[in-house]
Amino acid sequence: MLLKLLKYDFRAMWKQFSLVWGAALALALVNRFTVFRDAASNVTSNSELFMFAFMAVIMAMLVLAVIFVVNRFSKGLLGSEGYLMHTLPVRPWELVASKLICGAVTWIGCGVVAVASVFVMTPINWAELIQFPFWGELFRGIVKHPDAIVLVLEFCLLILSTTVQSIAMIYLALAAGHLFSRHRRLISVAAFIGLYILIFNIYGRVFSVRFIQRLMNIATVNVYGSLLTASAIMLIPAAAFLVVVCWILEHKLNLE
Amino acid sequence: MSDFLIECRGLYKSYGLRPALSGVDLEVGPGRIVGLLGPNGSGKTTLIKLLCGLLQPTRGELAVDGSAIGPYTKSVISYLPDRMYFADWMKAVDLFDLFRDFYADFEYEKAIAMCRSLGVEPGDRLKSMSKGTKEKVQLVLAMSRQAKLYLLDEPIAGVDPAARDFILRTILTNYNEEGTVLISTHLISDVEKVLDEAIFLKEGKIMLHATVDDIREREGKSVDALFREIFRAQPMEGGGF
Amino acid sequence: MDWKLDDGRPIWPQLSQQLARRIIAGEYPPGSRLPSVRELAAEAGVNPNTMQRALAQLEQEGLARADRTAGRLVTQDAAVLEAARLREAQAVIRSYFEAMSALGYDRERAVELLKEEFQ
Repeated sequence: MLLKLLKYDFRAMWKQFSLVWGAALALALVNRFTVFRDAASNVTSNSELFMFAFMAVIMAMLVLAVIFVVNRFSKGLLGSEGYLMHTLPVRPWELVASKLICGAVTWIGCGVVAVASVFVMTPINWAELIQFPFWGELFRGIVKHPDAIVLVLEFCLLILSTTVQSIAMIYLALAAGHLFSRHRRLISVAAFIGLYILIFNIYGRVFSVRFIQRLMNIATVNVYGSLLTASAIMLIPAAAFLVVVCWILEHKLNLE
Repeated sequence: MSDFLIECRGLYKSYGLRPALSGVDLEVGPGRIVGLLGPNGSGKTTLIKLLCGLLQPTRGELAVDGSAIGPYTKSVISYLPDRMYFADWMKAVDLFDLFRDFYADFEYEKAIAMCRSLGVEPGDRLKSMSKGTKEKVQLVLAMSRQAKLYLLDEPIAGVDPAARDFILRTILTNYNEEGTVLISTHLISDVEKVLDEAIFLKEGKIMLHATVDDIREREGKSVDALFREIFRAQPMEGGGF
Repeated sequence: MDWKLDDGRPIWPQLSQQLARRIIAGEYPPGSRLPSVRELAAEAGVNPNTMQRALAQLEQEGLARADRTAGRLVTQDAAVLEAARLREAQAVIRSYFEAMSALGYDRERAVELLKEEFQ
């Protein structure tokens, strides 16, 4: 059932983001041919305009990514679309998991598109780069130190954990607002700010200077451990948030 | 296990301090069409939402087909809500796909055929449809399932009398005869003929639960007439000035 | 013929009476197959259970009988049909007298008026 839910969530996501992602990459490609040529030749084409448009699209993409996560949860599960989703024969946690996975993929996708568009924009001569012996070196390096891949994977995990934690925090804030019959939005915003402060206070207390030092010590001895610890620090509160969100959806759902 | 499809014991639901249902005991068997009748605000929609799991009871017990509300009961309940529930970018056929994916008892071809007979083009975008057409799509979704329990919340409110007949006929010719249909409405004269049983709800309590034939035989008047009598009785009630 | 249902009386006897009239009038000829419960219910806009009960009443009166393959068949028994026709006729006469008495005519006067109408 989770797979079926994901199918529909990803379809909705693709409807919204295929256009934005395509626009970002296309504008980056245009910039590649305008920005650097202008700088070289003193002939003004519309390079500033294209650059501005590119920046605007990237900004819009990031804003849209946040709105998407908020709306898919608040409208899709707690709004009128919830009438459909909550009468499907699935468990509430499956609904939440589907939205969470889709949201995390969207955010990471936006990050990837942002980074990729910078690469597209830079006038790198790809043909040269591919022949460059650097790749051979890189490959040999990885064969010699296969743990490097582990490190990269752990780094990806850390990014994923941070994303999941942020989304879980948004979901919990929205679910908290749902517990009240009036001023739900206001309460959600307040809850989000409250959670934000709470998390940073907890992190501040728990991760005292000494703890950070110890973490750093681990890092010098065991760099893998420190990244995993950092992921865990993100994931443990995220898991707690999600448990509460699922509990609210299961026991306190109030679609009026 | 009991033979009842719906069983409620001491069901109580409040929004804040205001009770919407206060102590509902109800048993409804399979294979019948039941009218859930009451004026606006009497708790009809609340009861239906509790049955399909969109609300949680404050107190009391509730079972559908012998199970507590959960994925199983949701798989045997076909729900027609009193509002639009779908995203605008979808087409009617996208919804049919979704229903086919999630409900084993959904009949895709039947849905397409029913759409055509109601004059709705299944490939059209929902965004371009009028309110009435969207309501028809929701009716098609609800009636294309071979469900054990159909929960139809105000299916004929807000449409003209000719369309009411059409909708009732669609319901009558398409429901699963082993299943039970619960229709909530305040337009009693329109549905009276199709009902086996009537449940009168007043201020969150069940005033009366009897078969339509019994009511007509005992009272010598139609359910509609009885309803008007009961609910007109105290016009100043609660006013207290 | 349309289905007419009054308030104040259970629905199924009204349905069964109207079905009987259709049979007597030959709308459903002797020996023919009656439409299914579902078809009749949809036509009258009533619940199938109610229509089922009305049809069961017809069977009890002998106007129809269940057939394992063909659903329900209208009886071919002329005596039964004739008896039903007479019952209906008597009901019409009774209601004539009731209506006339509501207008203030006694039975004799009502019969006289009926005769006058024919001349």
